[in-house]
Amino acid sequence: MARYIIGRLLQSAATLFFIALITFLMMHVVPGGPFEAMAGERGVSTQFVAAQESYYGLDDPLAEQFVRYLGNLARGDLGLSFAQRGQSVTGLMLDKIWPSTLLGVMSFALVFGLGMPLGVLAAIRRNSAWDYISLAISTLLAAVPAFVLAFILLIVFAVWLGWFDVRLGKGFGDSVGSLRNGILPALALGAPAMALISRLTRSSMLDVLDQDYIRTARAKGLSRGGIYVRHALRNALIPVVTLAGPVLAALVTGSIIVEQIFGIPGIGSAFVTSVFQRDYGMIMGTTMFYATIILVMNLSVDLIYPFVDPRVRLRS
Amino acid sequence: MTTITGALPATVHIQARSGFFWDAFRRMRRNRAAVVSMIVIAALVFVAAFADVIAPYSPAEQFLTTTGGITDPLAPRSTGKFERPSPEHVFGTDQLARDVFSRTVVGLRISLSAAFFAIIVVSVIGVLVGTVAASGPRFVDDVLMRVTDIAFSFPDLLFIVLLRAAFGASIFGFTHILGIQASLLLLFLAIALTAWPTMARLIRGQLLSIRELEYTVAAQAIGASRSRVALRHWLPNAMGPAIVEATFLAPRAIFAEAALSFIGIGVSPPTPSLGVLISEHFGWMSINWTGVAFPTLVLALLFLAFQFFGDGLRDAFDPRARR
Repeated sequence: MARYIIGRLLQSAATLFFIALITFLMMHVVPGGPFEAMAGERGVSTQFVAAQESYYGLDDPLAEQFVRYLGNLARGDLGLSFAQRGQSVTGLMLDKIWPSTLLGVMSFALVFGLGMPLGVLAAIRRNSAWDYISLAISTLLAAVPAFVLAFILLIVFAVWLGWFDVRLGKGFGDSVGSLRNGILPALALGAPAMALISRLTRSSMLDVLDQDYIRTARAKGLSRGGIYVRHALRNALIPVVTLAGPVLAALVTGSIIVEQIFGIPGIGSAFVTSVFQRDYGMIMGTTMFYATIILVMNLSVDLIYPFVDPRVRLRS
Repeated sequence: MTTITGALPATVHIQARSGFFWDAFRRMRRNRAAVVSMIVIAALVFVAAFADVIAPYSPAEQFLTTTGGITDPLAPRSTGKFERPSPEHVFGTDQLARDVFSRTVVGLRISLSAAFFAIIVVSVIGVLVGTVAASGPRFVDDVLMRVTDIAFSFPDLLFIVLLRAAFGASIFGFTHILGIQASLLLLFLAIALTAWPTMARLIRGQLLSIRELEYTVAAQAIGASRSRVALRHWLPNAMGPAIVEATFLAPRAIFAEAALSFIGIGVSPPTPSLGVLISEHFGWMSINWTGVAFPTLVLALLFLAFQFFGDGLRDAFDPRARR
């Protein structure tokens, strides 16, 4: 077990290294550096740009810059932001990570809190109105792009009904009261995942209800409710629960579009801005953050699986 | 008695045309949702392919009714802008008095191109990497799977945004390649490059498990050649899930294109794609809701058709899998 985990962690570190390398190279292929982008805006002289670049070491060979970056990264230093002068990437990112993570977690709660019951209901009342309503909801949620859904929600609940402030992204996560404003973005963000989870729960539940041991339990005279909860649900949720990690990763890292629409000052919109500003430090920092989350969550699936399903054993 | 005589011709039919794909096709035909989806997809592809003929006007043509003078933004409808749907303009006109129907038809072509481009690129890379990894020596497998892991862990949207920014509007100085805008091609390529790892893993997994199955051993035991086993037994059985995966790629690519265009890093205006149309029209939603509704409906139709078609394919290829 320990050997397996260490092996996987080393693999993940290697993956992270290559992701850093690819991002670094792509970033430097982009025409125009951070100071040239700024110079174009403000009309700064080329001498100043050159001076700045040499100050930040941007005129060193790429390999040297990359090694220096890795060295700093190993010490937990993500460097300085070029666009927001005088601020560290770590500090800037910490501000941005909070709203995105909060949004991801809220969305995650919605996805599983609504998706799983919907799927279970559809399976228990198979081919009933509940089943079809559940199918209709999940199909609709999956068929409408997140940005369209976001706008529909915004227009219906913020503009027409006035339940939310139209600029609900502002200050999201600053206070407990602002959590309410996260409901619409969380719904828009989680819709496709919710559809997936409810469909998966349904088919998995149907599979389990077909098993011999469920018939045995029925034959013993156990109550329907007892069978569903104690026998069927526990096994049916195995494939669903293992998706929790990747879904959470997808929700935390996949909020770029939803953040833009609702004006949430999260890390997704920060990344898009940083690419246009050629803010090297921020680009690298965001990418490493996203990649780490995805890697950790994927690893968590493999580690959790043996616990929820004792038939599975890890091999190193 | 009657049931037996009724069943006979069907048996003859099965004997006349049997085999992996024919069996799948017959199962597919019984799935009503899948057949309808297939017809919808065929119709949409037809419309996209003949967009030039079907679109009544050029997507850039403006139908301003006031000639010269100042156009009053507060009285938009008197200028030919934001026309309600009418026989001349089936989907109405937009903020620049352009025909929304023509723009949607051309936009559909771009969205579908994104889908087919993604399917082709992902299939080629996925099958190649998957096959080589499954059949090559151990270290080749290890290296390829590590590469796949890296690509798999790379945050999708970040990769697309970076690639778009890195190349801008040209690929190594070319603004057009084979008559297609370089920026468009790059966007399609970026979408495809984030999707191939799943396909590669799928193909590799399929081949590895098929290799151990009884029918492979049986075929080898009766003296089938290596190539015969590979072509007649492995390929069709590995193809099923791969085709299904490829079908599901289409809606993903279409959505990705739309979402990227929406936040302004996808297709750049004035070229219309469904995503561009939706985002352009959102700003004018309060005076012209049909402008948003029609492209969104087309997008949803496209998505659902591919989704149900993919579901149908999956059931047809694997009759044991229940829904």
